[in-house]
Amino acid sequence: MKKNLLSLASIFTLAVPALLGTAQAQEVVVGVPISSSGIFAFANLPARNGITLAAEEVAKSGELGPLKIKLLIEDTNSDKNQAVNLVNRFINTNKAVLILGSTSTVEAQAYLPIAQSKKIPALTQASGDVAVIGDWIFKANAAPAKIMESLALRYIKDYQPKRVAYIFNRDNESYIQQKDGVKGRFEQVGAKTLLEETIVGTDTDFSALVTKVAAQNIDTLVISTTGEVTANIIIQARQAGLPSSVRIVATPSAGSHQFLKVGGAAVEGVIFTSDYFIGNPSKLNQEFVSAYKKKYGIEPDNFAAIGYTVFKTAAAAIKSAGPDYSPESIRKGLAGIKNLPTILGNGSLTQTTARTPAYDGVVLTVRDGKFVPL
Amino acid sequence: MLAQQLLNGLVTGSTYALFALGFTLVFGVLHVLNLAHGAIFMAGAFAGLYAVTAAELPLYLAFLIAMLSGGLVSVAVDWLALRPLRQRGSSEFAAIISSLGIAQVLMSAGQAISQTQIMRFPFGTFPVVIYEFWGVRISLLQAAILGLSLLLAFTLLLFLFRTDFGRRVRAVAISERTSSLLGIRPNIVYFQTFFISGALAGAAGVIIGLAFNSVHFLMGEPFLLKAFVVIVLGGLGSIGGALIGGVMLGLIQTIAVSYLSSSLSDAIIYSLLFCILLIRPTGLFGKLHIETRVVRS
Repeated sequence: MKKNLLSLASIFTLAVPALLGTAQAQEVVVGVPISSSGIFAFANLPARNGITLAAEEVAKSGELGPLKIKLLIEDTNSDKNQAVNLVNRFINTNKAVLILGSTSTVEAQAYLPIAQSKKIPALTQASGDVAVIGDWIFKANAAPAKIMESLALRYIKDYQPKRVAYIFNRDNESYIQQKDGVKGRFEQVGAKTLLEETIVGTDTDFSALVTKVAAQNIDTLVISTTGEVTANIIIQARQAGLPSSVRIVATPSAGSHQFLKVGGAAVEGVIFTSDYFIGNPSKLNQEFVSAYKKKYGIEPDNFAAIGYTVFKTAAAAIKSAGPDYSPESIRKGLAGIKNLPTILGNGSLTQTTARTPAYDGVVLTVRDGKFVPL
Repeated sequence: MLAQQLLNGLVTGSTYALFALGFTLVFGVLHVLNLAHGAIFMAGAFAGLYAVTAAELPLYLAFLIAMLSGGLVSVAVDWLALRPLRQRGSSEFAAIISSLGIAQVLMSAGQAISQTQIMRFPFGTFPVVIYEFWGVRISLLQAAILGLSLLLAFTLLLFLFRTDFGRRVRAVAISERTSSLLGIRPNIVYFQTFFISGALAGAAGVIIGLAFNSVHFLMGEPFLLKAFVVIVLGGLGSIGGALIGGVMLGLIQTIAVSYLSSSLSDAIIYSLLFCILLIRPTGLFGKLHIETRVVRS
């Protein structure tokens, strides 16, 4: 009897960890450092909503079988040091096998090298060209500098800019790249750069700057900074006497509810490019819009759509990695994403060899307080 | 454009002066740089904003609430962080560090309350009216900023130099011990000084929040840096110097942005600070306006 009990105990002792091990193998940890507060919250709050919605849909659909994704979403406070601490914690303590990132290039440039050095794949919606950091880093959306070029081409065709002024963030590489993307195309067709001025993300008083801009005989003002600051500059520029005939071109950061809320009537007519258009008639998009409105009570914006795409892309990569859910296997899954149906761009997402999808943006404008195609 | 930019500089400078008035007042009386002044300014702006958005009060009431809140927070800063050090006869350096510490506590509280969001006064809180004179545009808000800054500065000067309260403040600033022997209670004077300093910061918080369309838990930090430049320019502890220094800084910054480059404006301002510290450590108006100083040099 004693012998039998000992045998049973041995089997139990051996079997329980094995069973637990199986159960653990059926859960992958995904870390999401995202600036839900602070100067980048205008983009990351909706992005977090998009990620959460997609995670719920994936869990409900059962498309990953018994596998569960444990999503750890933490606020970086728009502070790159906090983002670095979080990523270290996700990787070292929580044993995350995938990092999904913030839209902020400043933060991404700080924490992505950690993911790269620890060989943990990261899929980010950072606006800058951050995939160059290494072969473990992937972008879920096209580089804004590239889609800004497509905006420039469309703008040249429709409005033939002749005299242009630029205002851009000098403390954010992505906004410099986005400004350069437009400027390069404009100058190729002979548009003159009359003024090129810089700001930093925490500036609030633009009175001297916009008076200087208003005094130039320009037909186009390009503003490359966050959505809220773009709106603030436009309000102050119009009050400083910038003629209503001057068209204002902005970056995808303008595609946020916060931009409309802050800018009000002053941002009517602003032209910008977006990865996403809410009026896209595809079934996938209509279902997304409906689910988002049902869950959050508001319409999704560009960043919500990007966040949603980030998680859907991650889920597809994890699915293709199975049954081996190691970081290396998930990395291969991300690299192999091809023709994934998406709500962004032209409706299909394929990772390029540069680990960044390529598609043209949708050119939008603000009319009656809403985003509509130009 | 020059006239317009000079006007812009005047308005921007008025906001710097308004912020620096309370800062320099405390320095004049206590000989301590109160590094919590930026956080008190933020607290006043928050109080004004929530009075408009949450309590739906009219702007003039929100302005008074901001001044009252700024004053009370400022008094609390003194009681919690500076008074205990004064009673123990600690060094001025300890008081600076203590004020820095309480500033961090206040900013953390502001961060938690606002969830780190950049907030704004709703559209229409202040009427958007633009006037044009000889090609120069001035909004009603800009005119109000200029008027209020001057009004508050002159009220403070009158208070300090034409009232019994002012005489007591100046007496304590010269010598706490002697003024005690003359029957003045320094603690009451400190209380009043901190309250006035905080009320000015609260007023500046609402005005700047309205003017630049932004209320944020870190909004005091850049202004605190600018206030250093202002009081070095105007002379440490000088009320009139703070007013002139603020306007000068606003003008220099605006002219730098207008005729040089926006990227260079900070470099120019801080180079100027460096040069003044080397050439005239008492400030440009240290001697010229000695009669307006709270501290006898």
